[in-house]
Amino acid sequence: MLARCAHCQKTFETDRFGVQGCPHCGQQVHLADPSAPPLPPPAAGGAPPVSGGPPAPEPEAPAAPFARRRELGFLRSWLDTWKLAALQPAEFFRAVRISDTGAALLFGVATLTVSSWLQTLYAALMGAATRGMVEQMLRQLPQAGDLGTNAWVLRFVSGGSAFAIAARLAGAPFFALAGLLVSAGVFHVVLLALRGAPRGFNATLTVVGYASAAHIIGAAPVPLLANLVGFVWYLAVVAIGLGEAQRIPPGKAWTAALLPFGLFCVCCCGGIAVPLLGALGRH
Amino acid sequence: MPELFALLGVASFLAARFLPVLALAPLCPFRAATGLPCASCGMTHAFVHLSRGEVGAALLASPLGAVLAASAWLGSSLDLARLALGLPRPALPEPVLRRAARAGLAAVALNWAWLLWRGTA
Repeated sequence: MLARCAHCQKTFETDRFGVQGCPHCGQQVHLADPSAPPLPPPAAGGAPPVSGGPPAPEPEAPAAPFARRRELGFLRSWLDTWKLAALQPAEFFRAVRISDTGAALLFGVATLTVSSWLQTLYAALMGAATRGMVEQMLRQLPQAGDLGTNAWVLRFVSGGSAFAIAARLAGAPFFALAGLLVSAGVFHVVLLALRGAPRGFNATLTVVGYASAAHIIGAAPVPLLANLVGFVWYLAVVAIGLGEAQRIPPGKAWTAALLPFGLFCVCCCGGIAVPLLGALGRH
Repeated sequence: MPELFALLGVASFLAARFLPVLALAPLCPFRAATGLPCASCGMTHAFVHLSRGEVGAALLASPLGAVLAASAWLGSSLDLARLALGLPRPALPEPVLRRAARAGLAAVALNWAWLLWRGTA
């Protein structure tokens, strides 16, 4: 039979009644069984009636300012959304519309791209100084004494060749898009495992997209520290956002946000912290 | 949105097959500091080997990476074929998704245990 989603208004084929996910927008829809006595019969000649999720349909949430960028202007809508997502994440993600994932994704791509462009330019401008610092850090690594094997790291932090800079500038939007999709997927897998995704993947993707607002902090011209602050801020916004957007307890939301990055941190922060602590201990 | 994931899968295959990603692959800081592999060590090698049809080498580099690459590319191909045929996306029930997610997390842990065992054996 043909059913229509109450959220995205698109139709899809299904062979059963009851609660199920819309294949287009991922929202849960409830297809009322016409043979069940308490529910009203289906509309004559049309698709079975659907309601907007259990137990009662929610009123349509307001769109984020960035979703109204045509009306407000790109820069103003971006700035308004940035303020809400980065500074008032609980209020913002509790109320934001989750069916408009395109706007969230575009916001995330735009923010990450600008951040990456600025970082690339700073790296090119401050290459020599950063190179010296990183070279010193690499020497502390017990298994990486040969700096020749880390030539790519030094090239990366010092900005690299003109070609490399151009490639990074051009590739930034694609890396941003891939990063957003992969990280949303990883967060959602953990949420599913914890039974913490009642509002579907769209809610997770919306949070990840708008939470990227925090990454703009990483573009500040403070080597390493700006990125660290931006990253911690991002994690906090993701955790708060997942809790509010998925309507789940804070414990589940923080676990979902921290588990993947805990693993990431073991890999990266741990690897960086060991030589740093070693270097500090020698001074 | 699923179309974006399908395109991402295609892009990962093209990058693994045609770009010199192993020459650019970063040194793992965890491995550099401890001498032990991290949970995602070997993933890039697994993707590159599998894109060249070297299944054994891919599994040896990272069993999870090989399975992930195969699943991503197969899923992308099926999704693009579905789009081309104009078929609706099959909706998996949440209990199935939940079990798959838990199996995925367990696979990450098992893969890391295997990498650690292989690295220290």
